[in-house]
Amino acid sequence: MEEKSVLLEAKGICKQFNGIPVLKNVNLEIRRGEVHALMGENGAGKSTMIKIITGVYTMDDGQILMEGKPVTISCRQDARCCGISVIYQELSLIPALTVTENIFLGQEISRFGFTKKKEMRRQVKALIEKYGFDLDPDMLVSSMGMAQRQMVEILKALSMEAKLIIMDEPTASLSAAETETLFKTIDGLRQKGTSILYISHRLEEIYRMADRLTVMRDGENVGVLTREEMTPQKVTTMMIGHEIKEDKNRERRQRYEGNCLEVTGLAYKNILKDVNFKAYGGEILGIGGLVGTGRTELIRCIYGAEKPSRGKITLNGKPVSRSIAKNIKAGFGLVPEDRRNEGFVPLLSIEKNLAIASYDKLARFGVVNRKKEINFAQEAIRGYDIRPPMRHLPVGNLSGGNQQKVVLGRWLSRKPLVLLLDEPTAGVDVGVKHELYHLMRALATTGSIVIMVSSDLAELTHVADRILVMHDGRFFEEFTHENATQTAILLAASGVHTSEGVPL
Amino acid sequence: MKKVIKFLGNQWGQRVTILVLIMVVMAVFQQNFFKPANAMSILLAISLYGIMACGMLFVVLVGGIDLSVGSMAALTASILSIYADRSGYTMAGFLTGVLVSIAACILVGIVHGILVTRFALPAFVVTLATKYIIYGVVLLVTGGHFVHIIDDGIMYKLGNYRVFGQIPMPIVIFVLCAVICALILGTTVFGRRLYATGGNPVASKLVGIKTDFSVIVSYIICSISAGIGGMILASMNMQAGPTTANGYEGNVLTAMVVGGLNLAGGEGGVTGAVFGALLVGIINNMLILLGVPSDMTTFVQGIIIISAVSLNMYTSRRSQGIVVEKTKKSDIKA
Amino acid sequence: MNKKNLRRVISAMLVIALAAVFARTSDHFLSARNILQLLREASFVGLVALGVSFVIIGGGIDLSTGGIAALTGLVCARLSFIPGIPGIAVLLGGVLTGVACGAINAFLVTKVRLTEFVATLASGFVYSGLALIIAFRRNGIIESRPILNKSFTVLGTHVGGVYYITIVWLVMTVLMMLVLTKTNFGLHTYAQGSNPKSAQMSGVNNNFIKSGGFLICGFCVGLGASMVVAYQSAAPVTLGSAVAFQAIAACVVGGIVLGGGRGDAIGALLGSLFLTLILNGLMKYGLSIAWQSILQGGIIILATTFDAQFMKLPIKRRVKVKPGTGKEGH
Repeated sequence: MEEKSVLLEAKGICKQFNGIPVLKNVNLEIRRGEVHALMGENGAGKSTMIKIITGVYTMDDGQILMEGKPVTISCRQDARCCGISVIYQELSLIPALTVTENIFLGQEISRFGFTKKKEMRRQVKALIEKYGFDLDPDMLVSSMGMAQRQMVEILKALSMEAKLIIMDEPTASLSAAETETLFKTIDGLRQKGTSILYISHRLEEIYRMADRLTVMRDGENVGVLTREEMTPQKVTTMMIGHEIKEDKNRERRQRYEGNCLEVTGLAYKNILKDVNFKAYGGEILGIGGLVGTGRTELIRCIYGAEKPSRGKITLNGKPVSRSIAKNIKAGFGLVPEDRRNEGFVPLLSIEKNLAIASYDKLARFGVVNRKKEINFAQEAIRGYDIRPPMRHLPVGNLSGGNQQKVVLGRWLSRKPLVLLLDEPTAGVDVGVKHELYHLMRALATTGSIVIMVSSDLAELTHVADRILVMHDGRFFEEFTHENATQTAILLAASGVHTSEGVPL
Repeated sequence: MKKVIKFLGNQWGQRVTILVLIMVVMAVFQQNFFKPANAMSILLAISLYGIMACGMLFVVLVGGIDLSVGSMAALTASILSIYADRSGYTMAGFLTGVLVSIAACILVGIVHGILVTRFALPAFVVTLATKYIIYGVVLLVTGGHFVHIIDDGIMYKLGNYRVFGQIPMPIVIFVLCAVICALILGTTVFGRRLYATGGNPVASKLVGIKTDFSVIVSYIICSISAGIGGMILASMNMQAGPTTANGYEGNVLTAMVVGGLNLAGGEGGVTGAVFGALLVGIINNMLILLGVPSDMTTFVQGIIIISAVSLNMYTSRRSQGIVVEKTKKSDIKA
Repeated sequence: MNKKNLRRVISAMLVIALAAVFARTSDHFLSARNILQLLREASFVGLVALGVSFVIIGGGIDLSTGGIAALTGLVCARLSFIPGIPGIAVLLGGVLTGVACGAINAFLVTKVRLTEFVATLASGFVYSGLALIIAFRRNGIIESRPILNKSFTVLGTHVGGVYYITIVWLVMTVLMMLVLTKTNFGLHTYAQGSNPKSAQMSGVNNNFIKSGGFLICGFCVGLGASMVVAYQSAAPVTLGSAVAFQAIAACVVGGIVLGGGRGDAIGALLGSLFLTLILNGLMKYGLSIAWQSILQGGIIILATTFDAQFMKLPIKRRVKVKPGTGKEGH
């Protein structure tokens, strides 16, 4: 294969936030007309890297060369001038406008403020023909599907003469057929000489599309692989690095067969296809898999926040209700993924956020027993070490970790039979993380079922007694605590069986 | 300077400042302001706004607004007067009138609540529309004429009786309403859920709160309090008709923003609403004493709303600025 | 047929159906004189609706138009009593008053950063308060003084039966339609109303669009109010009390969705026609003011509910149509 010339080269990029290094001497080299993939676990620094290239953040140290010449990118406009465009996960199109109007929004061709529609339309049409897109320049964006909207975004980038298009998880909201169309589009772009920086968690997409792959871990790049070198094993090993052997011989908890949550044949929209599992009291059940495979939807279905299209959920033989309020009474609790928007009420005090789900116990005839409420809050604040220990403080003013303690504490104080946690330690610093693990273990020891969805592989192997890995709307493989390794889980999430797991 | 800003940023700081400013102005220009008789008339004037503001508070707490309170008051005033009048001012007639009025309030509240929750229409559009609809109903009910009340019984006493020979009835009812609302908001599970609903509806749903129910009940409470205000007004004026309580929504809304309530919902309490009503009453009284023509009140109201909201925004943006910084740090740590 | 056109056809059909009903039940409905009178009546609401539609399409709301109309009216009246003043100067004064009010609204929303709803509700109070302040009074009581300035009142007359205000309305509608569809400003207004964040990211100046909307709104209201005062030869302080609400009702009937991004000047025109027809027609059947009020409120609720559901339709339809039923959803 002939060597293509280098389009963008980033050398020795460093970036710190409040003294914490996020990027340490990262290099990235993208050649002309290649699909270059960027992979790494959550928190490896991928998104920071992109934000530096596109001018959202400024780098502390390093250099960016565009076609061999050094450039400074300090704002979005700079990036655009250099020919760098981003297709965001949440698309930024205006539904009420047509394709043409969207593509030229903000840089209309006009005379005296009057838009030259014909000229714009002609240019869009030329672009569409050049790249062979299946689009009508006069179509309203509101009447288009996600994949088509993405094409418009790409077209918009091309209209600004983008040489490098960055795509951040572009298939996250696409169906299988739509993904196929996107891949074809990307192929077309590659042939026309446009470079693409492709960020994804999905290994299978990377194998299929990428010419080369840069792997990042902990703010450093671990290496660049060519197409021939990309094997699932190699990529995952690079992403995870040297796995620290954990002491797997910790004390095993008693499993309480008497407390059992059973899910059979659960389906939800076209996200969950056929989910079956049992969870027992006394164990922490970890659920792994890639973001967007339906893990969140699964626990929300169990909790009653979403209505499954098929399937049965039972707790100790009794069917679980579809009403959240009834489920809470029956002993369920949910710590949602998006803490700030779904977890707590920022303006309300610690005390009221803790008590909000427990007024069945703290009130009589609809009137709150203030003494009980205060006691309840104070016990929780003390028991879970919420800081600062001031019950009147609005939760919005706490640190992420303490906010999470409030959300978790709300349920722990009720001694739930089933506690569902969705990414419980996202955005929480290390010290608090271990406190949260401790609280979860303590709850499980009392015989409760704890189900934890997590993308943090270290967390899954460390905390969970049993791990179920989801792939393509189903559980793909099961690991015991003793056998689980991060590499094996990551491979299972991408649909590759390993010797450590038990296929389901 | 920083201290001044901090003082003004504090709600009570703002309130004290405004009151002191008024006192100073009045001390210089119009000493009659401080006479006990005037204080009583201020209280009487604000008791109506106060009752309505207490109800509107519930709607504002869940992030809504009710522009129909003026029409609602006119409707109950008319219904009560007609029932009382037709029955020859018997107790039974009066009670029927009250019951029918309250039923009408509940109905309107439910309609508001359902349109806002189930159909997801903006609250101000819905209530602006119902303001006109209810006004139309008032015209139908009264035939466009005023109903005059000729009675010295209950229909008179409701608005004019003096408890212990001193305290006018409307003030007693106002205090009662304020206390009840404070109790509902402060001590009941419903109150707790209301604040949660206004502060974060998604999170509230996930802890099992029926947020639609909270919102609908808020609108019902708001309509009822407007209705109570209307009935008292009928008795105070000894007449009721289409122009009764005309434009009161402006006064109540002014009370809300002057009381420092966040129109986005989730924070504030009865003290805010009561203080707001108090201030609106005092300012209206001040204008009268200073010889400003009565039809200028709308002008002043507009100015007050704009300045109060601007001040609230300015100060709350400052306090929010601190919050944002904090969360950002923790986010980045991750 | 796309949704935009379908919505247009619906409002047009409403107007035609209503006209047909009145034409059948009343002999002189279709007479030229009656139609021209109707158009004159619709013109004021139409002009205000046209102005408000800009603000609404841009994602805002203007509740102050009633106040602006009242104030403009009185400014015109006051000006017309200046001896020797030409009518055109009075008109200009009125229009400038409207624009000034719009500028204040724009300032409150973009600089002071109040929400549109609160800012315009309050500024509406201020404008109508100002109108009361400058109103003519006798012994402290407000009176409506007849305007005798011939060069101004001529603006309220007609040419060949068509009133000037109607001509102004129609010309403005065409003009605004051009602005909305042919200019960058119009395009950006839609973008802003549809998705302000994305619009900003694409380089749309949000504050410029908002300010532009309020200024256009002030201009249209000022123009409309001045012309009406010229026709009535008087400026009652209640000039704007009904029109603000009617204009919003006209907008929503015409498919200008509250919340922004949808509808256009033709929609405002159709909505105003519909509203005038229904109020006027029913009045002829002896419908009381009570029913008018109820009807207007009801129309707003019905139309907004309809549009809220209507907007959801395409999503449902797309899912349904996929298997190949090929049926048009609505």
